[in-house]
Amino acid sequence: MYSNQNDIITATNTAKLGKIVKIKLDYSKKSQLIHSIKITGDFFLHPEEAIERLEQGLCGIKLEKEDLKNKIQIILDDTEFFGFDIESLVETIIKTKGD
Amino acid sequence: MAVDEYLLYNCNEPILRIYGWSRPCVSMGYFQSGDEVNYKKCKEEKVDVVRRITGGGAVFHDMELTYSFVTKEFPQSIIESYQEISEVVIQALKKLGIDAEFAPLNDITVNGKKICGNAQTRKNNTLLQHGTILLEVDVEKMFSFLNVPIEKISDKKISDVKNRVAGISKEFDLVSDVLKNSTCDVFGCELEPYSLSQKELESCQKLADEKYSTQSWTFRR
Repeated sequence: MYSNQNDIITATNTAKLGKIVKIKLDYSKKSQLIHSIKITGDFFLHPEEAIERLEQGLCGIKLEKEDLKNKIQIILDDTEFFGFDIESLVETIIKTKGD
Repeated sequence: MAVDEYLLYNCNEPILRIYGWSRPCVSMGYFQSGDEVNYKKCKEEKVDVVRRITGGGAVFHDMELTYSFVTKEFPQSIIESYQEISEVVIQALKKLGIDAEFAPLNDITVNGKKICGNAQTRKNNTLLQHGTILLEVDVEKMFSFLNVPIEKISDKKISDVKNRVAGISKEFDLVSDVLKNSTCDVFGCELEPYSLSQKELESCQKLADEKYSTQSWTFRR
């Protein structure tokens, strides 16, 4: 984990959910808002392009369980995914920022 | 990969494609980050690296039979469609005296060891599922090209992970024949040989040149 002058912290986390999910997260330490996020791994998501929608949709969202869960549920509503579930994905994102 | 994508968008009849690799290659899943692959080692050993349009993990393609099913008729349930196509492989292996089973979501195992992996996508109301049947496995070589995340093995030794894959020790042509036969049996169909026309090959080459061989596609994540 490291931070730059603009208060943006970069952190990474890898978790074995059903499949491997890796998170690379840039967020504001002050506001706790996601600046950018990359979600990679050997999971399946149909349609595949929903991953970009998810990553873009999470920008500006607060790193809090309910906010993340609600947003992810909305974005993934019309998708099918295997290798993770929303609860564990949220937990993995929250854990990425550490304490 | 380019041919598979071409077929996905241009398939009028169901297609079974069986192929091998002119030289070893690592394919990585659509969602994986580029660091899943030991790119330096691949470069040294002249192993190609390509990103798939399907999810799943990184695969080292070497001594294997690779197949693709492309069809507009398929179960809407993703797990059912994996199961249906896996049944073709399971029946094919049965003809070779190999007792294999479907290991959801996307694997086929023999005695608990993975001998076949699959990945699918759905586009243009068409399903593409490609998969590999491992014929022989050099586990050390295979894993030397892949960066296996420590989380995948955190509760197990690396040797256990390596022991979870196996080859079926059969010839390519023999496996190809039984796969074709079992496709007919499972789907109740007949197969007609098909070769891509010059124009189709050019379209595939264009896809290979403009997408699959580019750094921007391979390392897009």
